[in-house]
Amino acid sequence: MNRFVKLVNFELSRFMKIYLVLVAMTVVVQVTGVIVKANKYMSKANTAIYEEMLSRTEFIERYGQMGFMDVTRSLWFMGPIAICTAALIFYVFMIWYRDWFGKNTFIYRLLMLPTARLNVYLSKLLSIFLMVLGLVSVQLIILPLENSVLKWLVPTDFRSDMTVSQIINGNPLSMLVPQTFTEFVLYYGAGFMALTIVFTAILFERSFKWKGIIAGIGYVAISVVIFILPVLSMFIVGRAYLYPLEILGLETAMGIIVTVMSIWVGNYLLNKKITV
Amino acid sequence: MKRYWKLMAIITVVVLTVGTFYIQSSLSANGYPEILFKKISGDKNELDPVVLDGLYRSECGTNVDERVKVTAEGTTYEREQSFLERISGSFFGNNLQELKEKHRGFMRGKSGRASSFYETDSTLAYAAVNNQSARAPKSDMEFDVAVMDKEKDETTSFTVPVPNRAMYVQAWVEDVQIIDGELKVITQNYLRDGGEEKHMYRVDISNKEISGEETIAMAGNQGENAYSRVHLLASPDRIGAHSYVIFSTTKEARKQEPDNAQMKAKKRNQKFIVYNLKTGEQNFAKAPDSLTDKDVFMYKQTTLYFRDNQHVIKYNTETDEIIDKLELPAQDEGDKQKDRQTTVEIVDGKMYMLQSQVESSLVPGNAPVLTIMDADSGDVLYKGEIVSEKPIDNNASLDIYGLLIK
Amino acid sequence: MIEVKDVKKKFGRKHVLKGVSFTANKGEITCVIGINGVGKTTILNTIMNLTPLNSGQILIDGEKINKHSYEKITFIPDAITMLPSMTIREAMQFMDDFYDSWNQERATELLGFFKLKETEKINNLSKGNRAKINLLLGLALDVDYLLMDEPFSGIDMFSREQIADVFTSHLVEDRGVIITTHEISDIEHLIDKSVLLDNGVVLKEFNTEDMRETEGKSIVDVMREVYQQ
Repeated sequence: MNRFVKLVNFELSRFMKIYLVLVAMTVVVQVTGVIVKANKYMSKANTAIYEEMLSRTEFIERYGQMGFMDVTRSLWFMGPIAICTAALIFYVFMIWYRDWFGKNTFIYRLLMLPTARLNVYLSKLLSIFLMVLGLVSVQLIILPLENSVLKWLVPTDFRSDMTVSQIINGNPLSMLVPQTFTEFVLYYGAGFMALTIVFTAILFERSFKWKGIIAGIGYVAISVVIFILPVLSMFIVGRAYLYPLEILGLETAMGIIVTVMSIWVGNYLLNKKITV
Repeated sequence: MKRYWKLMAIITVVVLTVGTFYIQSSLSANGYPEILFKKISGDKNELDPVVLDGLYRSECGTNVDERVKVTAEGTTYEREQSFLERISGSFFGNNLQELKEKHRGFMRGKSGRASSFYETDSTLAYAAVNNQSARAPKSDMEFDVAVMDKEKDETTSFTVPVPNRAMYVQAWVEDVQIIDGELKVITQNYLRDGGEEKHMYRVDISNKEISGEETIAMAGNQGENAYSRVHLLASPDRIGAHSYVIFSTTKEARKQEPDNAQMKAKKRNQKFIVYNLKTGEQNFAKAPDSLTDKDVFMYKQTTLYFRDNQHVIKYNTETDEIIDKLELPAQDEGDKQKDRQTTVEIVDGKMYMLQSQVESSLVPGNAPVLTIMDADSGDVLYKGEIVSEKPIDNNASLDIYGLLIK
Repeated sequence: MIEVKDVKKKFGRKHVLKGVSFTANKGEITCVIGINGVGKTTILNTIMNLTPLNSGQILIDGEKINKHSYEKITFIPDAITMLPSMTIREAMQFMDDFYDSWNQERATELLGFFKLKETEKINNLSKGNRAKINLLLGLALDVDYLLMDEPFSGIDMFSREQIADVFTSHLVEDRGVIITTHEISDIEHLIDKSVLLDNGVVLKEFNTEDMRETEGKSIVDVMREVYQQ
C-alpha cells in the first residue's frame, strides 16, 4: 500500500466514529419519521372512519392519500440530512485545524512524513469527498427500505406509491442525486472544486495568520470569478453570446483550471509557506 | 489489507450504490406511457411533420410536471433526455433551432424570437432592438442588424440607433423582410407617454443606416372612455418572404365596473390594416358582420382565416369577399355543446386540427382527435385518435394541447 | 552534517533569527543553548521545514530538505506528536506504516527500557511517560540526525535520569543530535558542541572538549562570560 492510500485510510479513521454516528442517526431518525408519519395518518383515518363515520373513499377524497412525499417534506427526513451536511461542512475546516489545535500538534507529524506534502492535502480532500458520497449512498440505500416500511404500515387504498426516482426528483434531494449521471459528475466535480478552493484558503490562513485570512478570502473571490467568467462575460456584454453547450464546455474547463490552480497553490503553501 | 477496510468499504458502497442507482434509473426511464396515433382513416404518412406538445403531470410530487413530445416515430418525455440534450434546449425543435444548427456562426448571440429573422434560399437576415430598459432615464436603444448572403457566405452586421429613441420606452421587432435589397423592420414601439405604435423602419444595408421610417398605426387611450389596441396577426410564415403584414385594430369602451354582460356585449368593431411592404400602401378592411363572432387565427398574403368550432372561413381583404368556407369535421355529432378545445394550423396547403374535449383522456373513444385536411378542398387526408398505449396511472395525467408542424 | 547558514526569520515585525549560522556533525551532540524565547525552537522548525525562512539556507548532508530527508532526520518536539486517542501500539503502527526507517526491534527494546505497555492510550499517560513515548517514536527511527526540543523540561527527576541514560547508550551513538535547552545541568557532560544563542544571533559556537582542554572552562563558565557581558 502506498503512503497516499494509507493517509486516506488514516484520515477516514480519524472521523469514522462521528461519521458512523451520523449514519446511524440518519437511519434511525428517518425510519422513525416514516413510522410516526404513517401512524399519524392511519390514526387520523381511523378516527375519521370509526368516529366520524366517513367511508374510506370519502376520507381519501377529503385528506388525500399518504405518499412518501409526506415523509420527505417533514423535519424527520430533512433534519438528519441538514445535520450531516452541517457536520461535514464543519469538518472541512476541522480536518485541518484539528492538527494545529490542542496540546498534541499532529501537524508536526504530518509535515514530517517522508512523502510529498501534497499527499497530505489530497488525502484530506479525498476523505471529505468520499464521506460526502458515502452519506449520499447511505441515503440511496435506505430510501427503498423506508419506502417499504411505509408500504408495510399503510394499506394500499390509503397510499400512493412512488418509486425511488420519483421520490428524489420532486425534492431538494435531487440536488444531491441529480437526474442523470452526467449531472452527478458535474455537480460533484463542482463540489470537489469548491473543496479545493476552501482547503487552499485555509492553508493561506495557516501560512500567514491574520494577513492569511484576507489572502484566503481574496483567493476564494478570485477563484469564484475565474469559474463564473464565461457566464459573467455574458452579463457584462449583455447578450447570450455563447450557446449552452459552449458555456457548459467552458465552465467545465474553468472548473478544471480552478481545481488544478487550487491544488497547485495549496501544494506551494504546504511546501514553502506553512508554519506549525 | 484488513486495516484498510474503512477506505475499501466506503469506496465499495459508493461505487455500488451510485452505479446501481443510475443504471437502474436509466433502465426504468421507460416506465412512461407511450402515446400512439391510432388511425381512423387516411394516410399515416401525413403525420410526418406533426409534433404534438403535451404535459405529463404526476401527483406524487411537487415538481414532476414535464413536457411530452409526440411524433409518429415515438413519444419523448422531458426527463428521458440526456443532460446535454436538455441544456441545449432542443427538446422542441422549432425553426430557430434549425437555423442555429445550420448557421451556427450567424445565429451566435442572436435573440431567441423567430420574428426577428428572415430567411430565403439566398439570404438570412436578423434585426432586433438592443439596450432596452424601461427604467433607464435615457434611452440608448439601437437596432442590431445582420444580413448574410448564403451563397457568398458573407455577413454584414452593424448597429444603428433607433430614430427618436428618446420618445420610446421599449421597442420589439415583430417582422423582418428584405424587399428590393432594403431591410424592412416592423416594430411595436411603446411610447413614454403610454401609447403604442406599429412602426416600420427601412434600413439601407449597404450604407448601414436607417433610410426611412413610418408609423403604421397608433393605439392607446382614446379619450377617457375608450382605448384602442392594435396587434399583428399570426402568420405561419413569419420567417419566410412575404409582401403583406396584416394588423388588427380594435376600439374598446372602458367600462368603470367590470361586468360579464358588458364584457360579452363588448363592442366589436375590429378592423384590419393590410400593409403592403413593397409599396407602403395601407388598406383598411372590415370583415362582414357574419364573421364578427369568429376569431382570426392567421393570415396569408391578403387573406384572413377565420374560424369557430365548426368552420374555417377565408376572407379576401382586397376583394372584400368570403372566398372559401371549410366545414370542420365534428368529433362527435351529438356532443357539439360540450366544451371543446380546437387547435388549427395551416401549413403548405394542409390544415392540421387537434380537437380535444376538456375532460378527454387518452382512451379510445374519448381521446383527442387529429385531423389533417386539404386546406382548399376540405378532403380529409388523415384522421386519427391520440391514445396511450397503456393506461395512465391514477395519480398522473397527460394533456395533449399543442400542435407544431415542422 | 547539518549546515545552518545565515538564517533569518521574522514573525510579523519581530526578528526572531537575525542571521544564525552553525553546523552540527554526525556522531556529535550539539546543544543550542539560550534562555526561553530566543528562537531555539524556531531554528529546529526551520531545519525541518516546518516554518519558512526569510533568508539563508539549511543543508543536510549538502542538500536541501526534501521528502526523502525525513527518513534521514527526525525531530522530537517538546510535546508528543501523535493523536492522543491512539494507543502506544497504534502510534508505533503508524510510524511503521509511513517510515521505511522505522525499527520495531529498537522500539520494543525502548519500551522495555521505559517499562511501558503497548496497550496504553497516549492520552492516559503521565507527562513523563508521554515524553518517553515521544522520545521513543523519534529514537526508533534509523535516522542519521535527531533534533530534540527541550527534552527535559517539565519532567520528573526519575524520567530525566532515564532519558539522560538514553544519550549515553548505543541508541544515540553515531548519530548527529541537536538538542535545545535553557538548562544544561543534566546533560552538560554529554555535549560535544555548544551554540550559545541570544537575541536571534549566535554569540558563541565552540567545542566543549577543546574549551575545557585549552582554556579550562566549562560550558557554564563560558555562558557566564558571554551572557553577563
